[in-house]
Amino acid sequence: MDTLTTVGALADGFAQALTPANLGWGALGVTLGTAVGVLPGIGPALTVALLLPATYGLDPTSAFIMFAGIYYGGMYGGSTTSILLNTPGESSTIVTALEGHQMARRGRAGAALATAAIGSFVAGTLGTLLLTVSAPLMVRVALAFGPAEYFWLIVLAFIATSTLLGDSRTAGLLSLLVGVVLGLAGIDRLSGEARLTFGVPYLLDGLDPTIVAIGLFAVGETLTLAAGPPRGHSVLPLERTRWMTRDDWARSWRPWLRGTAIGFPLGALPAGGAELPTLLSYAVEKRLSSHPEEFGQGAIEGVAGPEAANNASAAGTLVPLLALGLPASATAAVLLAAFQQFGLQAGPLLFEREPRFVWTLLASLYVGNVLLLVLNLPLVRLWVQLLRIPAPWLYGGILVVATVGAWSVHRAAGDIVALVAIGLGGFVLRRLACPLAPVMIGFMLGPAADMHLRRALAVGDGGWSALITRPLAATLLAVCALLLIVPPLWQAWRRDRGHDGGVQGTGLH
Amino acid sequence: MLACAHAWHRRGVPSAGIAPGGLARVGLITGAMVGHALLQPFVGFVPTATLLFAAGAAAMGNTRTARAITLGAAVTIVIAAVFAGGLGVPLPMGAWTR
Repeated sequence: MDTLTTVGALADGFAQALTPANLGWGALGVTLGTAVGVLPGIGPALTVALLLPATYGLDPTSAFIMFAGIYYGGMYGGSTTSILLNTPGESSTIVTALEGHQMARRGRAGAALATAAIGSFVAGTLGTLLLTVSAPLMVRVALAFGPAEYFWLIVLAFIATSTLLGDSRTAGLLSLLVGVVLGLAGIDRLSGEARLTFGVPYLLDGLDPTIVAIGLFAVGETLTLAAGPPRGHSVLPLERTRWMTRDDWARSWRPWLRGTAIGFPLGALPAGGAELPTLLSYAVEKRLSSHPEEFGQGAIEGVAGPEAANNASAAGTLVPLLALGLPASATAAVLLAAFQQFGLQAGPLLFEREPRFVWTLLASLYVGNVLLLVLNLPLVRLWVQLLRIPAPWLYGGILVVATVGAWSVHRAAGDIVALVAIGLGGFVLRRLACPLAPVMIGFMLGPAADMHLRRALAVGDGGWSALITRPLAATLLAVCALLLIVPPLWQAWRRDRGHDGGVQGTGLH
Repeated sequence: MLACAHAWHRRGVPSAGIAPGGLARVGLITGAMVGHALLQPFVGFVPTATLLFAAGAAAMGNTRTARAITLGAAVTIVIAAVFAGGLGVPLPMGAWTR
């Protein structure tokens, strides 16, 4: 696709995205996404999973325009909570909580919220621009992939997400295994035989992605909080706060751009989303800042850079999702579930078969970013009120919405029972400190890995050599092996040298 | 299985971090959700979801049951209106409404 065609397709996408109806869905998505994302302890994956059933009555284009708003709104809502409540909904906003909350404690909540909002807008817009340029290029590369390359690419995503997320590789791989088993349960399309159903008739049709996502993230989270000790929290006030000063602008614009440069490429890697880019951005800003002594006490660069990295990585995550059908984070895995819900196959053929849908979606990301900025800063006092909802009312409501979501899939009581079972599974995994993102990614990609493996073997007349004879497939296999071997060797080497044994995880999954 | 055992061993027993009565609260939520699933086709979404809301609130520390039921009824009516009326996702209204 040449530049002129891309611009023309994007212009057509804007024409679709800017119709009054679609603009309304986008605004509703941003509002809902921010409103749910701002609730304490609720990250973007849970936000998107919980609101997925709300789009069932819409046509795919309107539904995904709303989703784009929910996705970006959920991302931004989490930063508000981190700054004012010191309760990051997910690991990627920990750094925002670290510096932003300190700023809020010193009466600079307005500046922290403003640099987060404007940084999110700048990074989201630049990230979407990079997505617009890079996704068609990635599609061109992906069209050359055969089943063997796809198989190794999925294995690479498996290894990257399960070994780079969380504190323990074993726990990550365990989560992945659970996800793959859940994903493969049902009647095998090729042989017609039931597998991994354990004699349960409900499982013959396989588990629905919506139920798995809501069960893991909404019910599992609620059960975990109910089992633990009661937690109190206090919201820092916004009264008499000032937005950004001239000095704040001068200290923020470079971190916004650096955060974008760090967040987008790392978000596009199948390595688990925004945790790594935000931490890296924080480290870079701390090193480059002319006020390093302020870090830990409320440095604005420590909010501006990581928030930009967080939102740029969200745009980056959409590159492998749209171009290859590969989710690089839990939120992207839930978005992939949404594609399946509407009968759409994310991947290179999506650009050929549904060009109008793809370009309208990309255009709606630009529009969503503007709506987010327009809605968020003026309405921040309204979002703050949501932070004051007591936990019993909040989680009581989440349980009701979760069951509505499960019911709306097939309108069957069995779906709600499955939701409870998966929620209990998520609760046990959390107690074992196992990350949940690999479960969702394993669930979504397990069947695809199985299909591509079988196709590759069929191409090679059943010989395993078909998996490694093509140069690209062999290269991907080598990268997988390196990812498995190098990190433990690196940690062992660091231990021998007297370091502390590597990067510690965040404990938030 | 080996991975599971290893993760269990490294992370400690799963009861770590569970407050007294925590598992009972998990049981309350689980039971309320299963009850909601089984009863809502007959009783209707609003009554069973109201009880689910109240049970979830109780599990999260609420002690004012009457208030939870009142608020739960209001919340579930709004949710039913939004999903069934606004978004076209029909919810069971109960056998007694037919």
